[in-house]
Amino acid sequence: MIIAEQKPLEEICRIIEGHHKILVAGCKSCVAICLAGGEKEVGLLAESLRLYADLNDREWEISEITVERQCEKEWVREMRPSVEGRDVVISIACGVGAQVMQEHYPDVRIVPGLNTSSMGAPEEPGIFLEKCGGCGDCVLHLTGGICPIVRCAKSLLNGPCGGSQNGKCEVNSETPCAWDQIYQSLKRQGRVDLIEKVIPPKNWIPSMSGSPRKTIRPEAVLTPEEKKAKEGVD
Amino acid sequence: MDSVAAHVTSLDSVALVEVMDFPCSTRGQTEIRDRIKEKSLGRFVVAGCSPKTHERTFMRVAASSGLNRFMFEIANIREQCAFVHARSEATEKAKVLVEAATSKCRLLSPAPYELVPVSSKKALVVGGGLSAVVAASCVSSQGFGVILVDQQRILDENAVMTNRLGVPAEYFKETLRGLRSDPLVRKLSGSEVIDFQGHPGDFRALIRTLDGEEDIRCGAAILALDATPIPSEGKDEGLRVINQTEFGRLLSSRTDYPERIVMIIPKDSSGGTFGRSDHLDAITNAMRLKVLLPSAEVTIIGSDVRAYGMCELDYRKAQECGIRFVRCKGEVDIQHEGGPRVLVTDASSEIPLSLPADLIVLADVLKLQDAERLAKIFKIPVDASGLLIRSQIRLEPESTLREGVFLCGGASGPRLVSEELLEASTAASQAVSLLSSPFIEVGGTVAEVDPEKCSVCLCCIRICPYTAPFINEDGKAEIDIQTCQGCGICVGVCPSKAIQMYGCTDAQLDAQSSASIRGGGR
Amino acid sequence: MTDRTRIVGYCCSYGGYSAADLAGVMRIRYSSDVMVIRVPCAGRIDVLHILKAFRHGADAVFVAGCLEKNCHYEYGNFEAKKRVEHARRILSSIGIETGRVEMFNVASNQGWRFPAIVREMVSRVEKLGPSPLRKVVE
Repeated sequence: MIIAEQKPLEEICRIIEGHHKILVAGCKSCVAICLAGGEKEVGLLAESLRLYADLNDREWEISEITVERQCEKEWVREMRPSVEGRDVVISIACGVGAQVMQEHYPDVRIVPGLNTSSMGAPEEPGIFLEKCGGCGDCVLHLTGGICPIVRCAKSLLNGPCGGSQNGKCEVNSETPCAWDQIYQSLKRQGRVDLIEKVIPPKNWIPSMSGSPRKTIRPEAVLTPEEKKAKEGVD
Repeated sequence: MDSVAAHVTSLDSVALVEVMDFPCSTRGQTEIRDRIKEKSLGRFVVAGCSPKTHERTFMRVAASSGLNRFMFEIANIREQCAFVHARSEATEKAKVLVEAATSKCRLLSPAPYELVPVSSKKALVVGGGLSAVVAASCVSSQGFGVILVDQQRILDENAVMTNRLGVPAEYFKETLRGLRSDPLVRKLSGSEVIDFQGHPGDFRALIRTLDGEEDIRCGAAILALDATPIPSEGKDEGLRVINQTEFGRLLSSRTDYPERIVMIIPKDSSGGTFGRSDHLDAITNAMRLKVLLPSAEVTIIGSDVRAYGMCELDYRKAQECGIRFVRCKGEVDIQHEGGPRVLVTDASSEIPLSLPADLIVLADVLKLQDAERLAKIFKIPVDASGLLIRSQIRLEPESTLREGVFLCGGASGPRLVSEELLEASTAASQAVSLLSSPFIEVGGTVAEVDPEKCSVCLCCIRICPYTAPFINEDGKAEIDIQTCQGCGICVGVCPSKAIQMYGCTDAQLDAQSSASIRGGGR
Repeated sequence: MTDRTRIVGYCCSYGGYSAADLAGVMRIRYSSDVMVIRVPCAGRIDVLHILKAFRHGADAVFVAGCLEKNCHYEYGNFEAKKRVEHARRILSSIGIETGRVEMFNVASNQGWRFPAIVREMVSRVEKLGPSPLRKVVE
């Protein structure tokens, strides 16, 4: 899931400086699960802001709302009564949710309360580790199920660098060397032959660099006729 | 009290205020009941002593007044007010306390309460030693069925008796005989429990027996695990070293006894991984030897002597028989040149002693068989040394955090044989109490998930000490009210505020806190 | 809002609350500035309860749970401790002195400790002064 972390309170307070009617908007999905933007965090941030406001003479009127998923327009639209009349919304959904909100409420300033970082999984309660970099060209079948793009500090594709020591990365002695993990995994699966398969220089086009990636499932896209029929209903 | 009453009368939604002498007395309770019925009241606040002492009483009052038994709140204006503050301060504070209790009371809702039938009247007893035998026999003597499961051969007299010293032989033989022919006790030897699910009154255990796997139902379970001594027979350069249990066996089976015995009791015999009966075992065995071979020279070395209770008499007798006790200072060494000797310094005189020895006997080191695996299966927490944890030492000594599962034997720590016998019968009687009721009451101040708000993040499932939350058929978290103990840890953890608990919701806590801080009408 | 000092203590049934009851039985006096709110387990408390108490006008807040490794509900007191730490971090960012919130572990038979805890919190409020929010809350 998407992992994000709340911005420091001081930074959020600076961002909303000068505003008066503030809505804190959360999301029940990934950010709730990584304990950054669910209803509880919305309540906490709102209460913290109210305390800050009282203490520092800010005229802030703070309200709260949490929706199922802030990236879906249906739910974002449902927020209208809460957004109306607000001059700024602190979105503590991921960067996606914040932007979808902005698209639907173009006249209201939507500001981020979180720093969205990565796609990852909980190692144990409270500890979330990056696993996937969204490179758009997955090679997990060649690397024993371990991503060399994000789990290797240098995103190497064909084996460890000279800094790999005792299975640990030279960047941080607690981080396992991804290529050591890849080798061990392939060994366990009896597929060490795959290590010898050279992965060519990566095609970064499907990845982060470049225009926003658009993914299309043609079978789900509404045909013009369908759109027309729906217009009557919507 | 009148000024407090006056203040409270002025609060919102308060229909009636009465000052009574002893609301908790029978007369007081009746009066409350009458008022509730007269005025069709839906909830009440008692301003008096601690809810810790009187909660149950007022639960009964609520129930008998036709209300849900949780529709009341108690303001503690005695132990936490009148008893600890100066008079005028206490009066002022009492006003606020009652106001806070009233604010909370307004927001109370009827708590779910169910009577679940105890559908299985059998007890599952896991273990094959002394405790298991006693527990099983106690349960069946009350007329309830027992399923006795052990990895070894059950009711093997030798295994049970010679494993532990101090076992009262005759009592034991009789109990074993009785159990062997008891139709109420089903014995599954060479078997082990591999899964355990369900609720008190209706548990399901999966047992791997010699004939395959079997599903059994029971209403209660007793883990009667015995700690058995690790074999320690060895040699220190030709000098034989054994433990007390092995020595006991030697005394029973051989006719040539060693002449000079030195028994060493470890410094830390505080009951950690060593037994509590180290000194008793030593004294018992030493006396046995003296009877069989009066000329034997026995020395018991230890940093102190712990002969609990009546064993003090045995300690005295042992000394009268000529058994030497040396309180040691520092290390105990073994030397071999010129014949094997034990070197020790006597603490009181500080004189170094050199004791020739034919045999060294050490204290038993006990190991709990299979405890970790069973703890996982029965979902009982284990402490740092691998012992199973009991719930409330003083009030429910044989219970575990898992309702319906009881402990006895060495499972939660080393025990003297007499203690084990006592605990086994206590665990049995607790199990029987459960089995003999037609119903078990479950529910009350339990937690509840609002599925609409649940993110299925698994936080509650991961944090609950009792494994009460689970993912239901609709894919959302749900709290099993039969297992929930009402601690509220999950309520605090839920990132989507999907869980609340009866009798302690966020709104109620907030109302209490607001009234506590701002109340008093000044 | 009152003009008197107010310290809120969230006390768990089996730890803090029982100790407070025992202090009463022992007739040990302590400041009436303290208002106890009973919870089943200290682990029930979340950071929001602490923050809200300050907004209502509390000068200090404490959580009293069972002794560590002796929580009646296994480890609720450890959960509470983490949340009190979290509350401290937030209070620090807001500009409220972190000494105003504290976690205590006390056993039900330590009647003498409850008044000691109260004394500690009262003395902190004396040193730090009333809550910086007091001038604002009406």
